[in-house]
Amino acid sequence: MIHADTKTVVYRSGFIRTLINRYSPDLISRAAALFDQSIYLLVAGWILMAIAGFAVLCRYSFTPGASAIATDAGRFASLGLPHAAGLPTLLMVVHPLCPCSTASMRELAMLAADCQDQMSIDVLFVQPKGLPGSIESTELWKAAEEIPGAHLIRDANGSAAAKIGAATSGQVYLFDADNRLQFSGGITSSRGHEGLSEGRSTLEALIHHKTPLVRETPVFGGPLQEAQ
Amino acid sequence: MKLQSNLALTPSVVARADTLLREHQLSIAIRTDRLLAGLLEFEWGFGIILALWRSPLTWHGGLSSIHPHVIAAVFLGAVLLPVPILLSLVRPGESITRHSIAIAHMLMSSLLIHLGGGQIEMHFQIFGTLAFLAFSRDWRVLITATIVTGTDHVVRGLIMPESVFGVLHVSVWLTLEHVAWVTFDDIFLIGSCIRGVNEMRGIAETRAMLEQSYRDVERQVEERTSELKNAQEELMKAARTAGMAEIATSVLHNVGNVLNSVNISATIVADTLKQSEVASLTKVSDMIVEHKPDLARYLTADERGRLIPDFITDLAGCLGEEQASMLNEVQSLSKGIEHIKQIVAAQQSMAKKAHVLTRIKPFSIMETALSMQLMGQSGDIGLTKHYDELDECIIDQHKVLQVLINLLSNARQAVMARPASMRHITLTVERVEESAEERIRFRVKDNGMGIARENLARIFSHGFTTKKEGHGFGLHSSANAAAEMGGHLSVMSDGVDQGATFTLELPVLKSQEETLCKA
Repeated sequence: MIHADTKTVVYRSGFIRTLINRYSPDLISRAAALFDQSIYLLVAGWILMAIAGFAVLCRYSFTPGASAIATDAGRFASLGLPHAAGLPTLLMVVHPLCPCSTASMRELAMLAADCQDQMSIDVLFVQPKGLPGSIESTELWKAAEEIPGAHLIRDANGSAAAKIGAATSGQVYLFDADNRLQFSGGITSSRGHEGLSEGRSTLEALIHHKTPLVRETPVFGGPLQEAQ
Repeated sequence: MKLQSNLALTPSVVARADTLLREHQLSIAIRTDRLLAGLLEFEWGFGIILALWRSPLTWHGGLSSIHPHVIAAVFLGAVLLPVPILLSLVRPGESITRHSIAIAHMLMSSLLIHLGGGQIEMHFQIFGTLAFLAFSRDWRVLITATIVTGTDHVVRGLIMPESVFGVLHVSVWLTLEHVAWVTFDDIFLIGSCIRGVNEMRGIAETRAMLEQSYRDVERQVEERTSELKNAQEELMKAARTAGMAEIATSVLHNVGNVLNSVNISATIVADTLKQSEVASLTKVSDMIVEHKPDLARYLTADERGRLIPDFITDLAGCLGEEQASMLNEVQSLSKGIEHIKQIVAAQQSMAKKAHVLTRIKPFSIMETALSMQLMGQSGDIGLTKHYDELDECIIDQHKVLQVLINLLSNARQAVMARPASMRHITLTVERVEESAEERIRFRVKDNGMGIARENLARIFSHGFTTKKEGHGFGLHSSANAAAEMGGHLSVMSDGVDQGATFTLELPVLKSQEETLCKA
């Protein structure tokens, strides 16, 4: 027996009813009967589709960007970035319009709040060719300005980032007071996702002179330059 | 007699309470399903706006394209909607619908958290969603929602632990903390659902008991009304019987009076016949026959014979007087018998024609009543009649006659207290001019003992009487009869010994249909 509400919903649409009655008068009855018999299959199929959709989204979110090419103290020093003597320097390289780096910037702000006056912070804003507008008007620039003590550096055409091998927006380096590389990687657990991450935990440990579990983490962000 | 109701949980009350509870739960479930289905649509739109606001474009150096989060918000959100919305339309209130909506909401919450960049504030809506799901008051839905979230955390925790907790190596306490917060929320929400259902059950039981009580009271009211109707019918029958008895008594009384007259006349005739001079005529005849051979000498010479012609002459005169006297008495006798016949015939015709409407001139009913009441009493009560020239109208002759007989009987009894020469009754039959509706008025006015002012209000009450041998039915039944005909019976009296006037007013009926309507 076909559920009354199934037919009622269909019958409310006069256009659909006219169409169906013209071409297949008993289509409503057959469709309603089929629906009644397979409702649980329908729900199960729907759940599987949703799971598949989330799997695709998760795959995107947890696929990191290109890893940075290994760099060293010499390359870093050649950049001439401002830093405080005797303190480690944290360098973050970002694309000014990368939405995924918003989470990285928030994590940097929280890290800066936790580790005040224990490190020098430089934020290198890559300005690729063809980027619309000024980078000072972007949300990322404004968020970086909010970080106490952070030095904001414009990197025209991304040459400085390329020099030290940074490829993905959100790349973070930590150099100790002797400009030795201590950490390279990202400080978010997935694209645009703030919260606890291996990168941030590692940086906190290093700044507080503890031994971290890892020294490299994946960087979840967009490419700094166009694909070649 | 107190009306009683039984507020107890009988099996029928419990069954009805179960039905009411199911209906209530179904209505809540349907309402909640449609509310949450609509909320899903709102969240979908919100997710798209959130994605467009936070991450509209993705950049490759200087090149941009639509961010995957926008695509996910549109398409993955669209995947989550159709089944719950369809079920809310074609299967509202059913278990499969509620659980599907719960799954959709938890998945939508997960999507929104993702689109919101994992901000802690976006996680709050998980707990808000659980509270919304509790609206249906089905705690099982909360279990489904919790299972969805728990499965997501467990599966991703196994495959990609950093996706759940952000780090690869997770303390078991962190896992338990995540579980504990959801469990904490579930405990209170499930408890609230169960309490809500128990309250609904209490309401359903109370309503079922009230319905039962209402039916009990209604049944008792019907029984009492039926008893009252029966009692009223019995009372009316008794009143009618009393009225009939009064008429019968009146008939018997009048017949009795006439029989007195008949008896007297018959006695006179008998005595006259006994004492008739015919015996003397026989003696004279015998003497004539005895002296037949010398009749002429006997009649002229005999001492006794000479008396015979004068005797015969005197005898003829006496016999003539006897005849006249007896003729007179026989006529009176005949008249009385005729009157008895008329009284009995009138009563019989009225009995046959009870409740039959007839077209008749109103004054003739008064005359009939008069004949039934004052027959045999003519001459001892002065009568004045004022009869208007009225056309025939439709009247319940029996009822009107019953009332008039009663009024005339009372008037007759009232004036009996006066000396014979002062007894007077005035009868009026007239059209009532002062009302818009056409009405007839019958009035019986006497100069008898009157009615005390304090008794005027009670004169028509059942059982009230000022007569030593009265039973208080007559005027009460007369008033009822008047009311049944759409009229009314009224009385006026200036007090004791001031006489009384009884007035019967009736509407003039044009047709039998009008009669039925008025009845």
